[in-house]
Amino acid sequence: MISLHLLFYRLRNSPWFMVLFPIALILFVYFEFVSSGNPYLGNDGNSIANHKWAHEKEDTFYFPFSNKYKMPKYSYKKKSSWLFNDRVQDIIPENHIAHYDLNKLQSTADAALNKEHVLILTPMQNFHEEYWENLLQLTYPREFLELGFIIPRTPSGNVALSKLEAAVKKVQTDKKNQRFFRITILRQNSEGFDKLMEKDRHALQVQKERRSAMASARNELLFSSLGPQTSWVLWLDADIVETPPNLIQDMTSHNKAVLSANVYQKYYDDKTNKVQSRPYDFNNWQESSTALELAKQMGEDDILVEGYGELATYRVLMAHFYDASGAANAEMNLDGVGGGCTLVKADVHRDGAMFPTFPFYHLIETEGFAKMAQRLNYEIFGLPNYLVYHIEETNT
Amino acid sequence: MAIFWGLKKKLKKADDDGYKLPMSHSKLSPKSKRLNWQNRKIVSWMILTVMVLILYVVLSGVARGGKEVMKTVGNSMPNYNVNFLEEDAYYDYDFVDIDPGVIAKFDEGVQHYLITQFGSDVLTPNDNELFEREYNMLLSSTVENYDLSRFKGSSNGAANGEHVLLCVPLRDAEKVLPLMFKHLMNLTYPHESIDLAFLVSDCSEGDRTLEALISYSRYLQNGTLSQVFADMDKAAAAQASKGTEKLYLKYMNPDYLKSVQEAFSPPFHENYDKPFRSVQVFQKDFGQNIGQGFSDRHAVKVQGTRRKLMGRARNWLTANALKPYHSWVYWRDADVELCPGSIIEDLMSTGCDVAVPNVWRPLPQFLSGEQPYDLNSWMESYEALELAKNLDEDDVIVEGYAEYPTYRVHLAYIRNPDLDPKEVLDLDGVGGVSILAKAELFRRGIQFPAFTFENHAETEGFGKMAKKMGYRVGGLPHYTLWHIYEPSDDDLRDIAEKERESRKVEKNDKAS
Repeated sequence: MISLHLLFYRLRNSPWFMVLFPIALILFVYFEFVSSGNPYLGNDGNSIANHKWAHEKEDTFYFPFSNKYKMPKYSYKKKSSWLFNDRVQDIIPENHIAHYDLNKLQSTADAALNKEHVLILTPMQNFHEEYWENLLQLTYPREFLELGFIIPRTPSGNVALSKLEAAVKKVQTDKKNQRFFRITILRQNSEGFDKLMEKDRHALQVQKERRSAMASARNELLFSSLGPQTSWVLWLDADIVETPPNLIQDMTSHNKAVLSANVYQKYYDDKTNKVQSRPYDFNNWQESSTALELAKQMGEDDILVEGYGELATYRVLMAHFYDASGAANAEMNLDGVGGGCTLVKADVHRDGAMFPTFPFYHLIETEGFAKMAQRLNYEIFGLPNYLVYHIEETNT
Repeated sequence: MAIFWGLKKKLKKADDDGYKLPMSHSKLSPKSKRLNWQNRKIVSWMILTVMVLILYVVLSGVARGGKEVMKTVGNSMPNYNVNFLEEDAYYDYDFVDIDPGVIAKFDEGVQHYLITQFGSDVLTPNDNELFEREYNMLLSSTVENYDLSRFKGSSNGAANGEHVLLCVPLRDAEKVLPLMFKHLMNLTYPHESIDLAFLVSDCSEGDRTLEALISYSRYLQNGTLSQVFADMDKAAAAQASKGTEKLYLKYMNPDYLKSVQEAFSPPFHENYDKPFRSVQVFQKDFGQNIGQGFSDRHAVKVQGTRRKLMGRARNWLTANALKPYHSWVYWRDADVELCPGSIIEDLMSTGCDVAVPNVWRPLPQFLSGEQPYDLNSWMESYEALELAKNLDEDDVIVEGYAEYPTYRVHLAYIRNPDLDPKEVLDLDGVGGVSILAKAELFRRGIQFPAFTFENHAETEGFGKMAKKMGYRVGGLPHYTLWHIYEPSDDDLRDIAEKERESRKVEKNDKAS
């Protein structure tokens, strides 16, 4: 490298440089102090300062009339910086605008494969540990499971609520892959029904009142928790304490609009000193002509309920169709369902099928729901050989 | 450097015969011009400084030019002050701010976090407080806890901050979207307590309702939609001055047209531009293939099927959009032309569980100027109940057609513009143009039946179901909304006739 001094010496003494240099100096002085700027040219020969983006040009597809970019007049406060995470948009959409394409929402036989969300709804009067254990044993991927609970505003409801909240806290603060997608806990608005003992609950006269209250609770729970991403709704009673771990996969594989499993009860038989099982839910039935005759003669506000000698309906009950040696996935047509373990496609509820709290074709609650689904042209099915077990109630 | 050096050598070749005396720089040797040497130093320094200066100027010029280009390309509007939305209602329940960074800390589980962060130490009070907050944030991101009795709804919803879900079913509605949005912005009920929900269904080919809806919503949530509409109206006015596209406007009552124009011109109420709490757009096609023109919609044979499908669409919207914290649900049709901005407060103050106003529409003057539009709001009559007993289970009774003589008292016919608009009547069936209902009804299961419920469907079935479950359904006969006028085929024929006649008269006048 030659020294700076020598470099300048050479420059000074070279004639070309000493001629061009003053010219260049004059040109730069002109561009800097005299010219008004924007010397940069874009593709079409215009200065790129005048460049227009596609949405700013007139009469394009993007917006037929106005094309000025408008500075927003209002803005939502953002506490977490946008820099951090693009997943903030998953939680709260930008500008609070959300677009859902419900045409893409489907309920198919391969529910887990298609990542379909299942909403498990439970009207809860009492919290049973076995119920919760059973729920945690379900093998359906938890990231697609949502839970919904509704609790009556009674003292027993308070107890159930505190136990439920403790259990929920434990699971939702666990590892991320153990958490459920969402859990909704509601406190009932309408009047609850507070007679809990099994004997009292099943007295005929109070059935209408009790089932109307339960229907109200179910509706409140359903329409508050159903969302645009739900594909299936599984109604699971709070006293169902034993189900196969593959419950949801098994039931969705039938791909039926309304599907009910057979609810039995395991009890300790004092006579044989062994655990036996017996049918429990008699609300899964097929209609019979006797029942229809009975209905015609009843007053408009009366309801038909199963399992009572006073109202002999002679309906075909799925509970009596259990065949231990039969296939577990055998189906049968039904006209009425109970709410013990019923899988319903979310579309059926969205179309308007709910649990009537008033006598609807002389039916109420889950059986009224089945009738309503039939009026909406859906078919009801049951699984006679697929058992789930109700808790044994000790009559103290 | 080498080039200069080479050039210099060539030019100097003539002078030099290759021999140069060594030059010395000692102060003792005689100098031809003392200034020469100093000149050279000065000139060197000058060249150096000028070169540095030029370099600096070039680079800063590039930077500045770049900045200017960015500025002009970005926007050419004067600086606005962006208002930040402060109201709590925008950020409660679902929209509570969740920090994904904080939540990500607990991905391995809270126990794991505590052990790795703090080991076996007991947390200090400060740490404990911070931990509690983060723990609650983690829980609230997936667990929702609501007490439904807090969202019952009272007559003074605005003061109590009650959330309203505003539902609008849309189908092929691109042309009425500006009208609808203007009405929405005009609502005086606090915008931070209103959630908008739209259902776009069964649009025909090439219809851009969904795209237009979404882009209008974006402007709406920015607060700039009124400016967009001002531009659009100017453009439309410029086009309209060239020739009337809507011929029937010539025959309408000029007072009515004037009142419409006044209604939509500024000044607007203070919170006109304020964004709403949220906008949800649902898209679902039900396979409906009845046309959306006036004559198509109103033929009696298709009414039953059409009403059931509309009931289905409405149910889909409530089922998906209703949240536990909503106290009211307001159903609104997109094609209402004149409506007071305080409608939600007015309907709420009636104290009914379901409230509907009266809906009329304007007509051309040769057809009596105005007409009741919504005949679905009525009180049940004995004759109608008898008629229903003789009908099939699936038959739907529709009002306003000779095939179903129901002799019901319709809210629409009771209207008297001189009487008190606050008067309330008890009804059995309601029409769907503008319904305010407590969310409690929807949560209890009352729906717009998509099947025939007591020989009715959709909104009338809704009214019947609400009455059956013991709720109060009220209508305001003297409080009127005006629906837009869409000329039917008969009306268009009449107008064409009149046009021809008037042209003949003009021709005769000219000839004579």
